[in-house]
Amino acid sequence: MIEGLLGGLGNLIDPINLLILIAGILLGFIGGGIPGISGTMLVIILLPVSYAMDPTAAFLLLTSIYATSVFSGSISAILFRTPGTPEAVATVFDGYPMAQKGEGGKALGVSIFSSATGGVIGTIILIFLTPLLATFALSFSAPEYFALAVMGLTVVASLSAGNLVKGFIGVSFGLFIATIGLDTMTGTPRFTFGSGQLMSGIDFIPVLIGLFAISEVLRQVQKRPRKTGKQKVRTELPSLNLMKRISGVIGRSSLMGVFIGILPGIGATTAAMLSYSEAARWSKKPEEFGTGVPEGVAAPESANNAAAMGAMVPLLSLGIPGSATTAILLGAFILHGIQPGPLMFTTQAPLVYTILIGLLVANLFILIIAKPFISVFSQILRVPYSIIGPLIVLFCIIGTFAVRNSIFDVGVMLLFGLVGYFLENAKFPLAPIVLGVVLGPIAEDQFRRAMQMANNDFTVFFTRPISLVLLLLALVSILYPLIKGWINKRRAKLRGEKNIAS
Amino acid sequence: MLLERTISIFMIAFSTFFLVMSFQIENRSGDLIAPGSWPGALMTIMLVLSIVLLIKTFRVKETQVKTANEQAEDLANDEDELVYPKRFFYLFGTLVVYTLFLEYIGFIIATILFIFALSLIFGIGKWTRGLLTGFLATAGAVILFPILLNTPFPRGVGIFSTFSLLFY
Repeated sequence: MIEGLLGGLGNLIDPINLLILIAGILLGFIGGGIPGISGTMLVIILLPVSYAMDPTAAFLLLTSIYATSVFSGSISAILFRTPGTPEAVATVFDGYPMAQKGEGGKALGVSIFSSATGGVIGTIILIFLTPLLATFALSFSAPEYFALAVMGLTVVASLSAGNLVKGFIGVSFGLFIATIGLDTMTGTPRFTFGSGQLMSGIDFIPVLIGLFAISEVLRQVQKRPRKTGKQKVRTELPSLNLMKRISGVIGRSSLMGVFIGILPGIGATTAAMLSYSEAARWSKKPEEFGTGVPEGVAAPESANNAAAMGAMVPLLSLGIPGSATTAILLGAFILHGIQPGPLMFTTQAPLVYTILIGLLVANLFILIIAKPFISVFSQILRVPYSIIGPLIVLFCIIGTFAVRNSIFDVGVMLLFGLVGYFLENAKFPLAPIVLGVVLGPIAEDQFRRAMQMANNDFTVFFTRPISLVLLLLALVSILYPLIKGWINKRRAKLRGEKNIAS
Repeated sequence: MLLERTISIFMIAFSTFFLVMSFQIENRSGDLIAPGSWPGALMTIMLVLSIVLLIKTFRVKETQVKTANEQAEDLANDEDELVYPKRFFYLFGTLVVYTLFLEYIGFIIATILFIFALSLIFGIGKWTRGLLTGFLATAGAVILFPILLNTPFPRGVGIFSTFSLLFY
């Protein structure tokens, strides 16, 4: 592994790759910093640029954007009370009060330091855990892969929005979309209505771009243009004393963040929220949280960067994405003819190690580049959405078109933009749909392969230990919210009865 | 609630239609798990859950404990009034028109007009600035994709195709 990492470092030092990495970091900063553009959307926007690149350069670009956009969401969260990305929502709680107290520079410094530390801790765990998990997964065959896909889908459906029914409707809808086209096992056309374009199936890039980017633009266009505040802040990195004070919080939140990130479906946003409340619970003065304490910035910022790295573990080791952005990265891998999963460490070792080293460097670069970037950032924020919005739409269209040179795909993207807009208005989680579309072919193929293997005996999924464990985990993830809801209801009822009695 | 109800009714129709469709997929291989079984099973699940959702929308609203995710969402949607509902239709209409005409009039002219229209819809102040955005964005896209990255872009038909050959 050490050789692999050194090889990766060698690849990274190549001037073109280094340049692309830095470009990715800066783009991640800009995209994450501007409210209305999330890391997910930025990775989508840059997909078409990456098609023509060499895989190493392409993935350095996409993953460094992914890693750094999580940090820069905190800049506008602290200064303007508007999180630049959803991951930075929890940073507002203490970041903005700090800025109001005139400690904006200090808050930004704490955010830079904790983001970088959280990201580095996350990447180190990613580097060590991924090969281990991949080696373990080498023994998997069809039933295990099916069970893994089922587990991924159920966890996402049950946790991503707290509404089990909507989550599972999304999953089955997504899985269904993936079945359109020629059946891979028998070549039978399914739901094609005689259309040649439907015959080759619905590609998931248009679905993804439609659901996440177009639907968001359709919403943004109806909003009042945001005010661009001018604020001069001198960023100051934390002093040694302050570092010592927040190091415990950072350590705990980072570890928590990574493990939350590894679990499919619970992303960096939840990690940030949870670690914020945990930090308040562990603190000696929990009442100070929310009034502008550095710990309140350090906890969510280290956790969200760590979680973003954790989410890469299942993608690289098992080929199962755990979040929307990693699903897009999976799509990017497939477009480059690479199937992520356990075999990637043998077939694509240099690429994997370069990505891992690239992530480590990107997180370290937050420490160096963030400070000068923030001083330029106020200028960038003045570009109005009436220019950014059309550009996002243009990039979405080009990105969709360029995958298969198909205008039909652009139509699919528009349709899913509309679907995503209405579903989101009705509080339907979109991530389950996307994961359904992405994991659909894997789930179906492996299911049918396993059935053939076992001569149509369903018990094959339950007699193999690993697949049994995975399916049990899937069952737990379905039952857990149901039981929790039932307990909550009972408690509320008991409380109600007590109130009446008194 | 009303939107939720409409969506669930729409989903019931969708899943019923495709459930019937999946029964009609021929099973040439004669396997127990036919090509139509998997989508059929999915549509059954979706149908049942959509009916559950529909019934749920008719029940009295219960006090719900909000999850951390929902709280985060609420905060993100803070100050989030949709003040220009009409723009939604303008934007979507423009997108549809652009997609339909792209093949015939080619990327360059269609995109200049498209970005110009979009920047007006997004509320750019002066129309000259919108036109400039259209020109610059199109120029940037043409230089980056067909010229530098060799992405084939739609050229249009007839005279438009000849025009596009001047650039890429």
